[in-house]
Amino acid sequence: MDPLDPNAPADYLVGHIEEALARDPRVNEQGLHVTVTGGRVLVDGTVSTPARHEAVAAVVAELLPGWTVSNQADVADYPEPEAEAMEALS
Amino acid sequence: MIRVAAVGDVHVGKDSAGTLRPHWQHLDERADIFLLAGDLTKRGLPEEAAVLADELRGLRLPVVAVLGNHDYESDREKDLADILGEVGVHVLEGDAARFDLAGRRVAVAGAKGFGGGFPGAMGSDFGEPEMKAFMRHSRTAADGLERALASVADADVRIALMHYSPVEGTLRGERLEIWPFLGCYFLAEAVDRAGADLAVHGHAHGGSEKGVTPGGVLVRNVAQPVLRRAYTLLCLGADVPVGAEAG
Repeated sequence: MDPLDPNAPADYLVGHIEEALARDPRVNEQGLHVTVTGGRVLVDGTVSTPARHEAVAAVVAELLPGWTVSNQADVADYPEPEAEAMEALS
Repeated sequence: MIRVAAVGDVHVGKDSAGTLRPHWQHLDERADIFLLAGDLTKRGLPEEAAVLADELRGLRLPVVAVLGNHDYESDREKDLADILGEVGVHVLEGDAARFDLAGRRVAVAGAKGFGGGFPGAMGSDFGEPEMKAFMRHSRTAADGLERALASVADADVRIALMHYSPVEGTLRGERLEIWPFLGCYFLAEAVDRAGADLAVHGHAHGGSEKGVTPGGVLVRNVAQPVLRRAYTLLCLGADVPVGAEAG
């Protein structure tokens, strides 16, 4: 993917970064939230594996070389559930 | 009582090998049936489905799945269903599977579903061919779900399994602007017309866990980022007989 124009309005940068994170085969996450401000890119949300977490930063760095990437996404690591009784029918 | 374990959006890739099985290998001790609500793989590749199949291989309870949008990314959805079928997973799309569980006839009817929106804020089967195709795909998926539920009307317990959301209630938390991409009321209408005891879906990672259809069927969003648990475990009919009429 070609680098983005770093002088483009932040809204457009956000749109292109979110699209790249959804489509890049290293990540393929649609639910990540991107914020662009002051030469910094913040990414929040959840990814499934540590490898995808690393890839988020790599993809953003390729799009905006030299910018600071704050990768605040969580890696899914979930506990076992408690059983829950449901009322059968309303 | 039927114990239903369910999770969606596990997004298995080649980097997921060995991460899910520790949570699943003793599921039969806690649950009677395991539902997977779509987005089983990261980008719909057969090698990703093979990783998931290894995670599921030999589980000693029925496993029923629908595919999600990620599973269609590489145009290999039929191969995915075959690979999972080889380890005993029932992959549904407009059809149903039946089981005898804890002395009850349990049926799961499944369809991926699609977007389209909800009354007052939805697309129409009108205008450009692309828009018509979008809404017709949603209609086709919902019609398949309704037919599948109707085909198992004699079951003691019926569960509707889909990827996209049938209701707005489980989308609370998601930005309103994207709700038409997250679900469609056609699915809820199908569930209410054909009847079900529970509707389960995924897809809405930022949504809410609990909802209900306009006709009163309980809905659960089991997308793993919503659950923040390895899966959810629902005990249907723990207090009153499943299938009892509302009193």
